[in-house]
Amino acid sequence: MDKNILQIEGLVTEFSTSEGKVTAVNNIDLNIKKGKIMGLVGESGCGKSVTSLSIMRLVPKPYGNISKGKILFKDKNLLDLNEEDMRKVRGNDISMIFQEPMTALNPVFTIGYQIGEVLELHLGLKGKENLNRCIGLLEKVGIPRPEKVVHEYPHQLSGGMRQRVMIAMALSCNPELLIADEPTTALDVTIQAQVLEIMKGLSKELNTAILLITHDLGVVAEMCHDVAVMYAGRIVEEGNVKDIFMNPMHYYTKGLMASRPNLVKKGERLKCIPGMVPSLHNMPKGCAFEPRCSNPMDICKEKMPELIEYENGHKVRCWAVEMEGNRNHGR
Amino acid sequence: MKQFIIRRLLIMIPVFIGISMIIFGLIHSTPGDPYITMLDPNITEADREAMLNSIGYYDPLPVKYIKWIERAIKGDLGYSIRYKEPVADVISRRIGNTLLLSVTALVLSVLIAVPLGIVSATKQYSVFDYVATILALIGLSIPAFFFALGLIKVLAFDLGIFPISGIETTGANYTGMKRVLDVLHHMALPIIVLTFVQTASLMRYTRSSMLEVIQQDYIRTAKAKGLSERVVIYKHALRNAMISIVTLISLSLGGLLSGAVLTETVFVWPGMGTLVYQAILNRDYPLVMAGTMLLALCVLFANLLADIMYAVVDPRIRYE
Amino acid sequence: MANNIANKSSNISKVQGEEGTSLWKIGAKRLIKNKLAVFGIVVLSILIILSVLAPVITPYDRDETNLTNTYQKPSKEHWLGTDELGRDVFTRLIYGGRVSLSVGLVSTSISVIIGVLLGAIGGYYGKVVDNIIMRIVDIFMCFPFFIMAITIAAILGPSIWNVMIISGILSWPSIARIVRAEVMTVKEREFVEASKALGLTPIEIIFRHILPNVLAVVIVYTTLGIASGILSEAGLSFLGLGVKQPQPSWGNMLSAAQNLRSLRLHWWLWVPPGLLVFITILSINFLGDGLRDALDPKLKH
Repeated sequence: MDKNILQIEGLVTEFSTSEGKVTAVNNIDLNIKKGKIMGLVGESGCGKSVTSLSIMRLVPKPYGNISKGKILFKDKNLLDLNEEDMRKVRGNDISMIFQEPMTALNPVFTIGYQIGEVLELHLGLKGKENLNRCIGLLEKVGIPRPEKVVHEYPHQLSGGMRQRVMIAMALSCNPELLIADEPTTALDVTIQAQVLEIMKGLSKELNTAILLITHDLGVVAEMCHDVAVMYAGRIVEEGNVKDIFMNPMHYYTKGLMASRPNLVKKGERLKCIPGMVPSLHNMPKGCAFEPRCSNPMDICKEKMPELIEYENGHKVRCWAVEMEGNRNHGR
Repeated sequence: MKQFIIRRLLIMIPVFIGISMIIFGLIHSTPGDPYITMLDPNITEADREAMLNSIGYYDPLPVKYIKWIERAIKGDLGYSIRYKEPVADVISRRIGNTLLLSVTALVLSVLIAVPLGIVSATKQYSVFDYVATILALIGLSIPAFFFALGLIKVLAFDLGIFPISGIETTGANYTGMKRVLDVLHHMALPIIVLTFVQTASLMRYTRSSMLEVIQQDYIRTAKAKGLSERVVIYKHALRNAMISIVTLISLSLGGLLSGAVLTETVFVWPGMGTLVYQAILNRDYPLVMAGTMLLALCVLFANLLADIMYAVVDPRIRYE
Repeated sequence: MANNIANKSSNISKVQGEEGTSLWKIGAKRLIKNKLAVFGIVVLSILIILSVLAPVITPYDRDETNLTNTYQKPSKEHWLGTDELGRDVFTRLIYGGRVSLSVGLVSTSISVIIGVLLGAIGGYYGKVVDNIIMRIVDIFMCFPFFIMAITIAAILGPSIWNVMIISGILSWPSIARIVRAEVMTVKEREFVEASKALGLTPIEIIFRHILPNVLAVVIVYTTLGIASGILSEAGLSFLGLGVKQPQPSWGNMLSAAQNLRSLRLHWWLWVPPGLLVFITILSINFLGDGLRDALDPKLKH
C-alpha cells in the first residue's frame, strides 16, 4: 500500500459572517498518497477551496478559523506548528497554485524576481545561481525563450504562460505536495490540456503528490488516481478514479456523471441536477443533498448519513446505499 | 518614457492656454482703474491719457492678453502697482517661504501618514485602526484656519510657547544659527496645521489602498510561497499600494502650494498665498495675474509629475 | 424626484438581474447599522432643526444691537455672550446655520448639475465632445481653488449668492470626472445596448437608464461636496469676501478672530461658529463614508 503524504482528520473550518457562523468545511477526512494525484470535485461553494486553504493554513483571518481536526503532513500535524515553522512548509514542502493566473502574480515584480524569491527563501540560492535556476524552471514548464521571460512582468504574458510560471514557482523547491485550485478553469481549452500535461509529467518526474481541485470531471478522469466528491462542506463519496467513474454510488456523483456534456448524444437534452446548493446559513438537518436527490427517503430529511467504506477504499455517504449494503450483507 | 512625457507635455499646452485666458479675462473684468493711484495726480488729462495709452490700457482684451503672454515668455511679468518693482522680484522673494512651509509639511505628513495608514490597514478593526481613522476624519473635517486660530489662541497667546505670527522676530535681525532657530520657531504652528490636515487625507488614502491591495490574489500567492508577514506586507502589498499613494502625494504638492492661502493669512506668513490675497484686495493686476498663473502652473506640473510617477512605479504603464 | 429615479433604477436592475432589486433597501439597512453614519444623520438633523426654528428658539432678534452690552461673557441671558455690537451670539449662530447650510446645499447643487450633465455627455458621446469637456475639466482642476474664489469674489462683490455661485462653479470638475468614468463603464453594459436597439434617443438613455445607475456615486460625492461648500463659505466669509454683515454666517462670525484682541479675549465670538463648522463637516464626512460603504457594491465587507 502507498504511504500517505497528507492525512486530514476531522477538519472543521468555520467562517463568521454578518449573518452568523457558517461551517464551510465540515468534518472532512482525506488521505493523499505519496506521488499520486487526488482529485477533489464539487460545485462552487462546496468547500473545496477552503479545504485547500486550510491545509496551507491560509484561511483568511479574522473571519475564517480552523476549529477542529488534524492535518498530518508526513505524520506531523500542521495545525500544531507555529507560524514561523508553517512558513517553512509553505512553498517548500507544500505549495499551491490558484485559479486565476491573471491576478495570482504580483504585477509590479518580474517573473524572475517572483520565482527567485522562493528559491532564495527556502533554498538560499542567490545571484547568478538563482537566476539560472529560474530560467531552468521556466524551461521545464515549457516556456519559450525563458532567459527573456525571466526579466518580464506578468502583464506581458498570456494566461496560459502565467499559469506555467505559477507551476514553475510552485515546483521550484520540489515540494512533496502541490495543491492546485482549479488551475485550468480560467484558461482556453487548448491551453488547459497543455497545462495539465505539464503538471502530470512533473508530478511523475519529481514524485510530487497533487491535490487537484476542480469541478471538471473530464480533468479528473485524465489526471487523477483517486477522487473525493464534496457537497456542501462534506465529502459524500471517495474512491479510486476507476471505481468512481464506473460505479458512482452517491446520487450526487451519479448526477455529476450524467450531466457531463460529452456523454449526451446529439439531439438529446443536457442532463442536469435540479435545484441549487443549499445556503451555508441554513443547512438541512439531514442529508444536505436530500432536496435535490432523485431518490429521497424519509430518513434523509432527519439524519445525516455517515461516510461508510464499501469496497477497496470506495466510501459513500448516503442512506440509500447504506441500506442497500446492509440488505446485501444480510443475504 | 520620453515619448510619454512629451505626449503629456503636449496635452498641457491647450490646458495652460485655457487657464491663462480665463485668469486673464477674470482679472481684467475687475471693476475700477488701479493705475490711477500710480500716476502723479498733478499731470494733465492729456498726459494721463497718453501714459495710459502707452502702457496699453485702452487695448482690447485679446491684444492685452497676447502682449502679456509675449512678455511673460520673455520673463517679464510686469510691474507691481503696489510694490513699485518688477513682479518677478516680488514673487521670487516670497515663493521660497511658501515652498519652505509646504514642502516641510508634505515631507512630514508622508513620514507620518504612510506608516500609520499601513499599520491601520494591516490591523483593520483594531483599537489602533479605530483611533487613527477617527483622528484622520477629524483632520479632514476641521477647517484649517479655525485649527490655526485655536493653536494661536492656546499655544501662542495663553501659553506663550510659540510666536503669534510672521516668519521671524521683527527687528531682532538674527544671523546664522540663531536666525534658523528663530524661523523654525515661527514655522512650528503653521507646519502643525498643514501637516495635520495633509496627514489626515494621506493616511486615509494609504489605508484604503493597502486594504484593497491586501485582498488581491497575489498577496495570497506571496503567503503561499512561505514569505513572512513582513515581506508580504512591506514588499508585495506596499509596492502595489505605492502606485496610487505616490500619485496622490505628487498631486497634493500642487494643492499644498495654493491651498495654504488661509493658513498663511492667519499666521501672516509672507508667502505666495498672502501675497496674492493682498494683491487681489489692492487690485494689483500684474501681481495677481502672475501669482495666480504661477500657482496654476504648479498644479499643472504636479499633475504631470503624478502621471510620470505613476508610470515609473507601475510597470504595466511603462510598456504600454 | 430622487425617489422617482430610485424607482426607475430598481426597475432597470430587475432587467439586469437580481443583483439590484433591493439595492437601495440593502443600502439603507447597511447605513443604519453604521454607528458613525447614524451619528452624522442625527447631528445634521439637529443642526437643520435649530436653524430652521431659529426664531422660535431664541428670544432675541438676529440683528438687535445693544451698545451698552457689548462683549459680554456667556451668561444665563446670553448663552454664548454678545458681540462687538451687543448682539446675542447664540442667536446669530443658529441664524448663521441657515446661511452656511444653504450655501453648502445650493453650491453643491450647482456643481452637481453642471458636473453630472457634462460628465454624462462626455462619457456617453466620447471622442471630440469628450475631449473638449475633459480639457475644460483639466483647466478647472488646475485652478488654485481658493485664490480663484477670492479673485472672483473680489469681482462679484461679497454676497451669499456669489459665494454659492463661486463654490458651485469651481467644484464641478471632480463630479464630472467621476460621472464620466461611471457612464463610460455603464455604457458598455448590455441593457444600454438593449435600449439603443429599442430605439430610445441618447437623451432618454442617459437620463432614464445611465444616470440612475451612477446615482449611488453621485449621492456620495454630493454629500461630501456639501462639506466643501460649507468650508469655502467659511473661508471666504472669514476673509470678508463672502456673506456680508449684518447677515450672520458661521464664516463671517469667525472673522471676529481676525481681530487679535477678540482672538485672545473673546473666545465665545469665534470658537462656537468654528466648532459648528467642524462638527457639521465631520458629520457630513461620517455620513458620506457610511453612504459610500452602503451604496457602493464594489466595496466588499
